Amino acid sequence: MEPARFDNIFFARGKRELFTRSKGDALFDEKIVVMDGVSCRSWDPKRSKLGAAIMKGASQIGIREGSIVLYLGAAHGYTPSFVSDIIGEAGMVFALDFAPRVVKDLIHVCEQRQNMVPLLGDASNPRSYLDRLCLVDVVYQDIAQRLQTRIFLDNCRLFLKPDGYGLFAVKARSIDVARNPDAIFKEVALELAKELVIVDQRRLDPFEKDHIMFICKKR
Amino acid sequence: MTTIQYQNCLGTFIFTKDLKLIKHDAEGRDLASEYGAVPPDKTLIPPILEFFRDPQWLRAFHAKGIALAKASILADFSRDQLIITTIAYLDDLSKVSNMLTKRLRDAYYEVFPEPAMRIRDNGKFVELVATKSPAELRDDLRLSKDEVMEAPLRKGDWERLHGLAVRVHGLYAEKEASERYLDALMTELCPNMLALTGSTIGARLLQLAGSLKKLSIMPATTVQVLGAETAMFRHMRNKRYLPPKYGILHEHPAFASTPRYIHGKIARALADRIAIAAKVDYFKGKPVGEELKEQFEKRLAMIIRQKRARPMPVRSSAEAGRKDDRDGRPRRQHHPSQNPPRTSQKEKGQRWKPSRQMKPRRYR
Repeated sequence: MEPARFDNIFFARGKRELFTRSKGDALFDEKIVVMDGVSCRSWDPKRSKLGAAIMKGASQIGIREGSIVLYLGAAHGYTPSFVSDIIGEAGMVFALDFAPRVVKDLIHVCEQRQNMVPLLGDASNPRSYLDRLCLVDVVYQDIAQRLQTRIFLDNCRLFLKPDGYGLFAVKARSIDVARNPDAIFKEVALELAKELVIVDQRRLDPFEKDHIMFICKKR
Repeated sequence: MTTIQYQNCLGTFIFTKDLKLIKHDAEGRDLASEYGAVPPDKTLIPPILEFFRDPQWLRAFHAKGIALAKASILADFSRDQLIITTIAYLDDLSKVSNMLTKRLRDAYYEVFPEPAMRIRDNGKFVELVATKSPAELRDDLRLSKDEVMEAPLRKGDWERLHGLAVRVHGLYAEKEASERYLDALMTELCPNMLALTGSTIGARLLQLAGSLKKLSIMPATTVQVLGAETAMFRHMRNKRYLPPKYGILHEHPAFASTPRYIHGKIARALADRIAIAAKVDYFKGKPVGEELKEQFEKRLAMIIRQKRARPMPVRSSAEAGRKDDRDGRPRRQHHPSQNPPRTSQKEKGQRWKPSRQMKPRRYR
């Protein structure tokens, strides 16, 4: 087990496995490893695009101990639960999804974590959940929507504090099933660069096909 | 001095101009007149949101967020979800009961083959072996004890075999009850679609669409290809593949007795009416199901009448020798690599490559 360069994240087995420091509760039946009294939760990069980006060597992720994170597209709360590990007790994850079905699972996770808030809302309409959160250090978005770039920029404009980070997982196939992913990524990057500074980008294969993670910073 | 009133899920907040908190009301009452407060203008939103980064408010967001999410999930429930769970349950039930019936037949073939051999109907077979003893079964089949190939089984053996039979019989009863329940749900929630499609197809359309709301805002063309997503996306990726003409609608009785080359037209007409029915069902309008059904049947009769007017099949020389099983239409080109298009004289030297820019092939 060796610490990665990010808070509370560890690599194991020669950077082949990913762990986060955790309270020792396996929320999704993950492997728990106890090292020197610190319990670590195994993080599967195939199920989590943030995990995949870290495995692919992302230079920075912006999420650190005490960060306040807006997580769009939280689904069952798998990745958000690891974000909650990283930020620790002092931070907060606002986890948003728009499908009632998965928010049920999300609520269950949030009830066990003091630093997670479930939000049921539509990311394409940020004003609809304006009354339920505060300014955040990081906006993370992973939603399969055609207009995902615009949704991301809207949310960054409204909720991201200056110098905050925006993490944006792009699924090329939900922007256009037919077109070449590389061309789509180029277009997205151009659009992002109008408002944010792209500090890093990582293709997520082999963990996810036709995906890319953009790591941006607000000016 | 003007003050600012900001309301969010944590209540009402009154701030001074430089964002000092004067008053917090957790009940969320409107205090604007009491404090002479105005709503914040756009430039003030970020500093106000910054104010709520305090740990005290974050903890409040946690508690309030869970309560609000639970409340909105409850508010989101609608009864059409029951239709979707019921049709999924029915699918699984028939799969499981078929599998176990096969197992039961196999078991009977080993020890007492006569009922399994002579009663072909699954439901009847299961009912008989579940409710009758071997002796009664023998009498039912009018066989004497010497004629049957009954294995010398002990009491415990029969008990297990009978146990399986009773379970499977229970599954059949459960299936019938669920079918009745589905019919009742459809009559209650989508009477108009029920009139047009019958409960199974109607329920399946709902299942594919996700909810009655989603189905009601779908265009008819989308309804037409619900259930044919694989073919649809294959076509969208590569226009050399033909688009599907129908999805789950093809189970409708109108398709069974009509020739295949008019199925596309029928699907279009049916989907058209279903889209209207779904809208009426969702918005609880006055019933139009019977009327829509009549219109569809009229259109169906017209399509069948017109079928004589179809153009003569055009066949290329390459296809002339092939057995024609496609009602005279030219053979569909299944995969570009298996079936490259005829190249013109100029291109003949080049290797053919599938191209996404190629125009869709249409029936002639």
